[in-house]
Amino acid sequence: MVVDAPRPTKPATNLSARLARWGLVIVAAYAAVALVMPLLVHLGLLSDPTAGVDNPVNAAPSWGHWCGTDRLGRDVCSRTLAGSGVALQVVVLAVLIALLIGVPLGMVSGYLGGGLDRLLVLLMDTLYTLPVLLLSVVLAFLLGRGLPNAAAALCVVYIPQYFRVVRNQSVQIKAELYIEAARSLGAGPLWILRRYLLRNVITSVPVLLTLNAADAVLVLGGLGFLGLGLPETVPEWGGDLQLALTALPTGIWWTALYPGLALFVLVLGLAFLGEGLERWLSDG
Amino acid sequence: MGAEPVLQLRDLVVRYPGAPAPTLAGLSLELGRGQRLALVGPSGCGKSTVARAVLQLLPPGSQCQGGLQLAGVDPRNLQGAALQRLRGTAVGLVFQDPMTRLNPLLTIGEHLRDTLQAHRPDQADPIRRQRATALLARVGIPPERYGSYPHEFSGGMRQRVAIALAMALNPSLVIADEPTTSLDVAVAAQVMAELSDLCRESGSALLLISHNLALAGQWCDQIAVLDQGRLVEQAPARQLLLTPRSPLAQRLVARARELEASCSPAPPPAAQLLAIDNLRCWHRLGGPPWQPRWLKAVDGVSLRLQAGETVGLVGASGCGKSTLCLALMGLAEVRGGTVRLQGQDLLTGRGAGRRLLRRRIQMVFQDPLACLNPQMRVGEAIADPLLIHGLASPAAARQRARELLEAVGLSPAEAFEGRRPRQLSGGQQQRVAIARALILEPRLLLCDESVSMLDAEVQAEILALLRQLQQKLGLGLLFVTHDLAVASGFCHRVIVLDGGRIVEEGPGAALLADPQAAITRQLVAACPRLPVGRHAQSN
Repeated sequence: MVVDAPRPTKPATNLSARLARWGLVIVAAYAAVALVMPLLVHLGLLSDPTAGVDNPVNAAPSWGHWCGTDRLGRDVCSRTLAGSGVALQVVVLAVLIALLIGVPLGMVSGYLGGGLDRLLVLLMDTLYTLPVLLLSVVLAFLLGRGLPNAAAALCVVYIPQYFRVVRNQSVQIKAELYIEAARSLGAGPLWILRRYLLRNVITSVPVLLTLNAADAVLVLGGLGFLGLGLPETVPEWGGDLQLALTALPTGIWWTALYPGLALFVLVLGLAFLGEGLERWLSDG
Repeated sequence: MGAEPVLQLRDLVVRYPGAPAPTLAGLSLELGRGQRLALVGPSGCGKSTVARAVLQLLPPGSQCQGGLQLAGVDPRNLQGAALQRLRGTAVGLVFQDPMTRLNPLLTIGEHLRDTLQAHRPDQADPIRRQRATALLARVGIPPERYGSYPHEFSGGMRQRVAIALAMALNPSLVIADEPTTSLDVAVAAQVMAELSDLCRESGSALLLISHNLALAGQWCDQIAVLDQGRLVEQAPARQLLLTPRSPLAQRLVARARELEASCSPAPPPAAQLLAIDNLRCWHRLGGPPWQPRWLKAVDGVSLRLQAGETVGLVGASGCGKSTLCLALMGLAEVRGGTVRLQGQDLLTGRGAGRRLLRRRIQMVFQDPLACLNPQMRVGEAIADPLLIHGLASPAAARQRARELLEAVGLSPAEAFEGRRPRQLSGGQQQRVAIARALILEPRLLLCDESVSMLDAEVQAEILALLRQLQQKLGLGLLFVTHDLAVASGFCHRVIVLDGGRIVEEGPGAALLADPQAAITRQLVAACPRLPVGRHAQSN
């Protein structure tokens, strides 16, 4: 007699794997566009995203301009494609800085504990209570426009997230026996942080990284929409959307659709990647 | 004995999903009403799978073929509520680690009441509560503790709660899977006595899954030896332990006897290695500053240890033996006394000199898996101490780690150094932990219950390894254990601790034969021993 117990939850893992694969494809495509775009412009295959003087203004999509032109006569297609490189640069920079500050700070705070820990937790929780967009708007306003400035404004928002996750995990892991065993071997705090704690807390970071990146794309778009963050000369989806907003009631849809779609798909791709990674890491 | 057996397995084959070979390969067993049967065998022989198969707790996708009758019913034909009813009323299960099986947010009273409520929904609440308190009283837990949470109990108390839970519905079969492995000897004996008495009172059959032959022999009428999913031998307990017939049973019994009966002759006189004088480790429990209350974990311990000698530290839980180890490692606060290692003071030194001295003491912990970083490969973990102290370049440390892997019997080293701790068996993990402790070339090795989590055969192997390394390197060993049998066989001298003080000291065999102090007598009495008969002596 054979009793077949219910099959394991195959569909769910398949779905998350599929999500992750799609997410990876989307993000890779954006990265490829970002890399190839300057080359194409240089070769003259695409028009310069900032030059628009000799183009017709607000032209509908046509063979000359696949996605039409905006009210300054700039090619929407090449602006949208160029926006991908800008967005990825700012977001990667911001998230990496947040990671490099938040993770060590969280580890030190969690491992050492005491007054330093309490102070840092208070500080980070205070930062956490402020709305993301509000905080970055204020920072972007204070720092002025520019690519590194926009990245700095964004990263401050994400530092507390890394700090929190890593700190709590450090508190949990420092009670493990292998940390005590390492201390009994004569390892100092720095050595333990580097060789024992880091490797065990870092596993939760990739998921946070991709989810934060998705969030950061949106916040960057929001900053651009408000006229903060990047200078006007840099093609950026949020700024383009702001320009398109006034034209939208007159039936000019292409200036809003393509940058919006680009933003949406990138956020979707990063979110898929994060969800897939989370499933994969928690399963394996 | 009833006409119908409580549990009947006929050619049971169980295969886990993705496993290349079945874990149980045609097992036949029968257990009558009120019978007590022990399942023994080496690790991985399928002992625990029997319990899972009977309760239908196999992971989804597992195959389970052959005859399986539990109180006349085949649990595989039951679904949902009927299966749950069978699990509670026909079988009670006691697990190895009670802490992880109790819900930390429920009081123990609620645990019992929930179980009763699920299976006896018609009973009134006060009656259920009465039954719950009666059950707790039966396993020796006073009714005041009804509202306590699991973390407020010691390991032995928790296991008693687990037993009360298993017995709550008077099941016709109780399955105990290594119920006392995580408990110390004295508590283990009490817990087993409770379990055994309860089974007798309610007429339940007992299926004890254990790797400890002496324990099985003491508490069960019958012993069944399993190997690779098959029944190798089944016989009355005494008969099997005295005259095992199958080669596996003979090997297991021989190993267990070896562990018990071996005796270490006094080592040749050598230089004194460690001298502890009046060591005190007190923890502050509170109280006003002028009248502090102290927990005197170690209270005036003095001992001497010479190179090449093994001293056993024995005592019940909480007697201060682990604190003593931690104090020697510099991980516990010392309140007074002196510790001299090779004539140099270990406690007062500072800076580089102290680090140099500390390197000469290393420790092997109880749980080898927990003391190794799960993210580090074995080779890295062993080489790490050299890097911590800056004694070698990474490449040289790697090479040294390979040599040590060979020295502890994990050869070829190349096959092991790339693995993670989880991918090794318990015995192999402990070998890695020993290699890691030895890479700094210590003079003194502290072993804190280093073999108590391993099964008897692996225990014997690890002890043999330690002895061999000791002879080769002239190590001093301080061997902490709660198992008097192991201590007396392995150690040259045994020291019994109670309440942080030394109560008795002497050669292991003499202590076992003629214990003086009350705690020693208690430990000796609690320690399950293999029966000694004429057959064994003529062997």
